[in-house]
Amino acid sequence: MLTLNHFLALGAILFAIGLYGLLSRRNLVAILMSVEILLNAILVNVVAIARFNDQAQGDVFALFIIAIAAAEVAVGLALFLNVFRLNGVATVDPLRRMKE
Amino acid sequence: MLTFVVLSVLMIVGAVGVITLKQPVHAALSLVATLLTLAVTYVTLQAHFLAAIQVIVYAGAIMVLFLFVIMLLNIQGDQPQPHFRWMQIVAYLTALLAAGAIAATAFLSPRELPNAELMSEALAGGGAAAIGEALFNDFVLAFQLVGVLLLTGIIGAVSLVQRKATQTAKDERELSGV
Amino acid sequence: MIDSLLITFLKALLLVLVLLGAFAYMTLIERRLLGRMQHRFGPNRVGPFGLLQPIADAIKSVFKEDIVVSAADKFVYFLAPFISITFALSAFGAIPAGPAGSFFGFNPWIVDLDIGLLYVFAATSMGVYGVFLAGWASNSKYSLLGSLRSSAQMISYEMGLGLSVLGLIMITGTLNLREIVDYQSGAYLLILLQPVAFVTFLISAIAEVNRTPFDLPEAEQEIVAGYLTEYSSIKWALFQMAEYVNMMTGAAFISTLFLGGWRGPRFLDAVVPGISEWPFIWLILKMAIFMFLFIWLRATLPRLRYDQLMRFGWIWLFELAMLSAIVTGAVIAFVL
Repeated sequence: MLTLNHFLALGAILFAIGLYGLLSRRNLVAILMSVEILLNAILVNVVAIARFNDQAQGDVFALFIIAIAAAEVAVGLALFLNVFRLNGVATVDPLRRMKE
Repeated sequence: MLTFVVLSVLMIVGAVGVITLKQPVHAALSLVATLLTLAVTYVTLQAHFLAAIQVIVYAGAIMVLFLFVIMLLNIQGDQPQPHFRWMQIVAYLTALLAAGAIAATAFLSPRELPNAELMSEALAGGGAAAIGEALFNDFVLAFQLVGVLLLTGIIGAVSLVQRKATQTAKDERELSGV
Repeated sequence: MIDSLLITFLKALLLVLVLLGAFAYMTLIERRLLGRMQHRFGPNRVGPFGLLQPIADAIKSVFKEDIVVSAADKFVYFLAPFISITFALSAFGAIPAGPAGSFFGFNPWIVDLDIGLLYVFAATSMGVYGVFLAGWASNSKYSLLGSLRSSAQMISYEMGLGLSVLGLIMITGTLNLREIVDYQSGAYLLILLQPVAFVTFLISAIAEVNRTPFDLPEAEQEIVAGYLTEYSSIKWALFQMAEYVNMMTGAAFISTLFLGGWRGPRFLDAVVPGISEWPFIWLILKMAIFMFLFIWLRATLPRLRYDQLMRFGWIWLFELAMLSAIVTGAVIAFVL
């Protein structure tokens, strides 16, 4: 029998994968894609919980998450474009200079 | 149940592809596959409206933006550098810990929750109307704020990218001695 | 009445075959019509009136050498045409072609979704990947230019499509294509209620399927057919197929949204009772009108320049569509 716990577990696994990518990749675009996996892991949970509780609120939250993801990606990619233009590479390495 | 297992396996394989494939375009495609599988999972949960939004906004717009930037920058694969290796181990441990913690909470939760068959009439078949009612009654302020956020995002993105264009124009003017 | 899974599958298979057959003959019709409009004959050698030309073309396509660019990203290079054709074909499934149970006792649509309108949008929005990846995987300057242009164009004009249907959704209060058709039989055709939206939708749809005057991704003269440059043989044919299937979906979608879909004009019922409820015939007729319009435009209009295309879209078309939606909303809220 398919229960809510299955969806929560799926969300957890996706979240962990995204977290690993977020911490281990150096390519800025890859890092942003890992963030997308994190957001989608949360989406799985939100939608599943909403459906199993028979409410529309979760869907509304999911819509908000998608909208915020769109804004985040637009700004993030614009930033990365500038990083690339300043340094010639789009990885996190040149950003170490920020601490100096 | 079988559908769920197949979809989850596809989704996890796609997500692993995103973080392991070296070529960014392949990683992005893998993410698209993950997003589409997720959309199908929404369909199995009767969240048709959200599935359509997921495909249109996430797969159809956000990921295309990613591919656009990857192609504009012509980003090549990432070579791991020695001084960054320790981060990978930290990442493994954190991820495992997080997965363990969340999965434990999920499975040890004593609450018995209702299953998908008990869904109400309003939410069956996508529930665009129910979502709209919730969105424009209970969450109307949040909705407006998201609109403002998106506008800010657009302005921010445009201004960030635009700066270089005026810079180029200035450089050109200086070069041509005007 | 909901059809069983097997029936749905068989209907989907039939739809695919019909669409591909229609694609083959649309190429012939298009070439013949273009010939007429340009004072020449067009292909008329193979069979009577050139009717066997599509078959000859198909044989030629299949047996041509399938060149794979050595510097291409092989996997994506093979994947791209399949993405294009898959999403092009799947978009058609939600469009109803007749009243329930009129297709040998089955429903003349593949799926009856409450979000049918969004489903068509979703499927067409995925189509951009085929073009985009084709250009990237070919590893050629022209291809990349073509695909970058095309994806920017398709994403932009998708907005035009979305904004144009807003007013329509407000009026009908549903996203179900079958209910939108039913609404139009009860009240007015939506082209009468939403004339501005109809025009902006039509223009956006032409841009969305990359037809002249918006066929910049291909632009034979400047970027030698853009994303298609490095494709040959059957893979090239798959892209062509996707383009024509997209045209047909666009035509059917516009007919459904604005022209009453599968229903015919009421006054003909006085001549032949029940003729306005006949399945298939009216939808096909309306599609044919739009297909003719697409070909006519191709023979008439020159191609826009890229900056003109973007400026036209973002400064005129989208504002007009948005204005139409706002006016519609205001009328519904304050007047009615």
